[in-house]
Amino acid sequence: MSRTHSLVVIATVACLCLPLLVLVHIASAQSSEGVDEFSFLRASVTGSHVFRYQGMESWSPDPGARLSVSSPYGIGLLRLDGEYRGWQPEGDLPSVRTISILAGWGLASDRDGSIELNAGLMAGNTFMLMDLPKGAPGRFESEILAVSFVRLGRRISSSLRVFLELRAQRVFTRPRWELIDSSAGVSIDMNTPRWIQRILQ
Amino acid sequence: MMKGHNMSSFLSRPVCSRFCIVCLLLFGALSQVDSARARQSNLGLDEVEISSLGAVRLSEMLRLMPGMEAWSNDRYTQRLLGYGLGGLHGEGPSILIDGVSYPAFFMDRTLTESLPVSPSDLSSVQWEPGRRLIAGGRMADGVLRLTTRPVEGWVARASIGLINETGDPGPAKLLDSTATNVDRSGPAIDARLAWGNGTWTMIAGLQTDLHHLTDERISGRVRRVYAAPVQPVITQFSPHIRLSRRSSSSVLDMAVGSSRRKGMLFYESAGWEWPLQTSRDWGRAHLNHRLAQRWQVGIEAEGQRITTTNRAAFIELPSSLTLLEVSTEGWVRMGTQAKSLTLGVGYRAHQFEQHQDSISKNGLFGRIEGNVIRSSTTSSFSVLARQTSRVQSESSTFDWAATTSFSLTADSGRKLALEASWLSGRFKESGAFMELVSMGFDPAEWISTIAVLPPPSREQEIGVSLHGSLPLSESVTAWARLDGRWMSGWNLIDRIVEQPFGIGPLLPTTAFSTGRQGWLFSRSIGLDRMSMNGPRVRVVYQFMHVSSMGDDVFFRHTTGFPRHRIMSMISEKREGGLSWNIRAGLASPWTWPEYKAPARKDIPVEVVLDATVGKDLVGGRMKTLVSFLNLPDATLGHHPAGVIEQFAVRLTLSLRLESQ
Repeated sequence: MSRTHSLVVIATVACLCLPLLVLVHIASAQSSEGVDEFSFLRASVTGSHVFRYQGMESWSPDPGARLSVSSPYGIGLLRLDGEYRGWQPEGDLPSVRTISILAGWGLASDRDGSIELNAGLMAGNTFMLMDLPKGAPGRFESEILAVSFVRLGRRISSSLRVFLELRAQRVFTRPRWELIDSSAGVSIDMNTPRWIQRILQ
Repeated sequence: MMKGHNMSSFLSRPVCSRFCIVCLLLFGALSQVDSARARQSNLGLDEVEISSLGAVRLSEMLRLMPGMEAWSNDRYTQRLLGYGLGGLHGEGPSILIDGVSYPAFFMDRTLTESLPVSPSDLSSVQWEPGRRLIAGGRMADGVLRLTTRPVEGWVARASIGLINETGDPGPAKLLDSTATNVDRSGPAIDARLAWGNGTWTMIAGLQTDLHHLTDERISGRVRRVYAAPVQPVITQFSPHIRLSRRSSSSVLDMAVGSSRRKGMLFYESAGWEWPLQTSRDWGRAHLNHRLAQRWQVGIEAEGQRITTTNRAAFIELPSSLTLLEVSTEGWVRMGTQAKSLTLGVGYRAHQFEQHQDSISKNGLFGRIEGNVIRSSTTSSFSVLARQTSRVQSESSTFDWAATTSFSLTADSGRKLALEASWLSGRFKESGAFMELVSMGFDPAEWISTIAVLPPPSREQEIGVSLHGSLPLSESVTAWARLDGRWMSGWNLIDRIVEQPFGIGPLLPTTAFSTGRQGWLFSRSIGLDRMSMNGPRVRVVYQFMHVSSMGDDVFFRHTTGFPRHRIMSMISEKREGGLSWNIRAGLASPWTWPEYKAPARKDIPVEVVLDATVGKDLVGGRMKTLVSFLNLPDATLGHHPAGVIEQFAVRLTLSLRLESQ
C-alpha cells in the first residue's frame, strides 16, 4: 500500500471517527439549540493546496479555488461544493483542468457555538478538460469522486467564521487518483430565503 | 463409481420405476396445504425491499436478491444457488407472474427483460427451489413467484436507471493510448400505461435498455470480430400488452409481447459471442373457470418464436436460426380447496429452422396433481408423463417426472416440509440441443470443434429436500434447508477454453458427453426479520457440495461458484418517504472450471457491500434513488472472460401519475 493511499485511508477514518468522539457533545448541544432545518446558509470561498497525491504523477497541482455552501439538516450540515484546479504537466503532455461538483453531509458540533467541528462525506463528479485541440478524442473526461472532510471553525463575529479544513479525495479513474488537500478560509452565515428553504424542505 | 452404476441400473428397471411412482403418489395422497404454501421458502423480497433496491431491470433485481448468484460471462445470466445449475446445463427455472407460468430456460437478460414485469410493478418476489411440474408439460428447476401490485383507475408511470461504472482512465489516457473507457449501462427505461377496476386490468408496457460495451477484457475480442476499434452498444426494445380479469369464479390472464436485442451478444448455446440480433415474439394465455362448487376447468396456451440473425462483422458468423415453440393444455380440477385432484392433457410442438430447412418434434403430455390440506398438515403430489415424436428421425421417447411434498405446521408457526422429486427422460436443454444435432441441425458453424456425437442417454434423477422454519419472535424467523440430488445419464455439452482472453473471439473447444453422473448437496440456513415497523433483515448462509465420484465432466458442470456464501440485506422505508437498503456478504474463493491455463483464474474471496438511499418527492409521485454498488471498490471478475466490475453508482428516477 502506497503512502498516499494509507494517508487517504487514515484521513477518511479520522474524518469519520472524530465526530463520533464529540457525539455526546453534539447531541446535547443540538437538543438545546432547536435549529430549524435549512434555516441558514453558510457560504465560503477558499483556496486549497494539495500536499500529497497519487495516480497523476505526470502532472503537478496548482492551488485550487473552492466555493462551498452548507445548511443545517438533522444533526449536521448538508453541503454543496464546487472546486476548480489546474494541473501542470511534465514534458510534452497537455495541461489538465478539473472542475469538481460535490454534495454530501457531515456531522456538526455546536453549530452556533464559538468553535465548531464539522466532518463527513461527499460524493460527486470531476470533469477533466485536457488542453487538446477542439474535437480531439479524449479532450474531455469525467469520473465519480468521493471526499471525506473535517473542518474546524471559529466564530469571529455574529455571521463570520474562520476555518481550517482537511480533505481526502478519491477520483475513481483507473488508476485511482487520490489526493489530500488542506484549505483555510472565511465563511459567512445568512438566513435562507423562504423560497429556497421551501424547495430544500 | 460402482455405486452410481448400480443405482443407475436399478432405476432403469421399468418395474422398479413404476413401483416408485406408485409410492410417491401414495405418499402424496396420504399426507397434505396448497402446494404453494407447503413449498414456501424464505428466499424472496417484499415490496419495501424491492422499492428500496432501486433496480429498474428485473435481471438486476434478481441479481441483488439474497440466494441468487450472477452467472455467465455477460454478467447478466443468472442462476439460483441451491443446485448450482443454469444455462445449458439445466432445464432452468420457471417464472410465475401472478400464478401464470412463463418459461425462463436460462435466466438471461434477453428473457427477463422481455417479461411483462419490472421491479416497480411488483409487490413481492418469492424464490422456491426444487423441482416443479408446470403448465405446458414442462419441468422447472425452481420457481420464481412474482406478484404484481393491483391497478386501480388510470396509472401512468415510468422509471429510468443509469449505472455509471467507475474506472475511466481520465488523463492517464494521454499516457497510454490503449486505455479504454469502461462499460456504461443505461439508461434502462420501463414505462407503463395501465387501467384497472378491481376485476379488469389492462397494461401496456415498454422496456428499453442500452449498454456500451467497452470493457478492456472484452474490447480485444471486439476488435478481432470487427477488425476495427469498435465500441458496440447493446440495445433492447421490449413492448408488451397484458389483459387480465379476476373474479371469484374465473381468471383470465393474457399477454403478448416482443423483444429485440442486438449488439455483441454472448450466445449461451454456442458458448461465444458475436454481433447478433435476437428477436423473441411471445404470447401467453391462462383461463380458469369454476363450473360448480367442486369443479373447475382451465386452459393454458403459450407460444414463442426466437430468431437469431447476424449483424455485419469481419469474421465468418453462424447462419441464422429460428425456434418456434407452442403448447396448449386443458385441465379439470375436482374437489374443494382442502382436497383437490387436477387432471390435464396437452400438446407441445417445436420447430427449428436453419438454412431454410426445418426440424420438428411434437408430442402429447398428461399431468396429474393432487392436494390435501388439513389443519396442520399439507400434502401434494404431481406427475407428468409425455411422449415426444421426432419427425425427421421417426423416433419417439417417453419421459416422466413426479414430485411430492408434505408439510407440518404447528400452532406456534413452526414448520417442517419434506419434498421429493424423480424424473426420467430427456428434460435438460443440453440434451435437447444434442437431440437437435441428431435430427439434422448443423452445429459446425456455431461450435468450434465437434467430437463424435453419441446418442443422448436417458436422464434419471432423484431429489430430496427438507425445509424447516422456526419463529423466534413475532417478526423473527430462523430457517434451514437441506437439498440432495442424485443424477445419472446426464447429457452435457462439454466446453473447454484454452486460449488467453483479449486476443480474439472467445471460441471454446466443445464435445458432447453422455451418461454423466454425480451427487449435489446444498445446505442453507437463514434468519429473517420481517416487521411492518423498522428494518427488514435477511441473512442467508449457503453451502454447496458436489460429489462427482471421479466424473470430471459432471464436476466441471456443477461447480464454478463459491462453495460458501453468506449474504445479508437490510431495508427500511421510513415515514416521509425516505428508504434505504444495505447488502453485505462474503463469498469463498472459487475457480471457473471450464477454463484451462492461461485463461483459468482463481477468483479470490469476494466482499459484497452495496448501499442505496431513496426519497419520495412531490407527494410520492416522484422517487429518486442513488445506489453505491461494490463499495469496497474491489476489481471483480465473476467470469474469466467477462467484464471487470468496479465501484459503480446507479441513479434511479421514477414518476407515477394516478387517477382513481
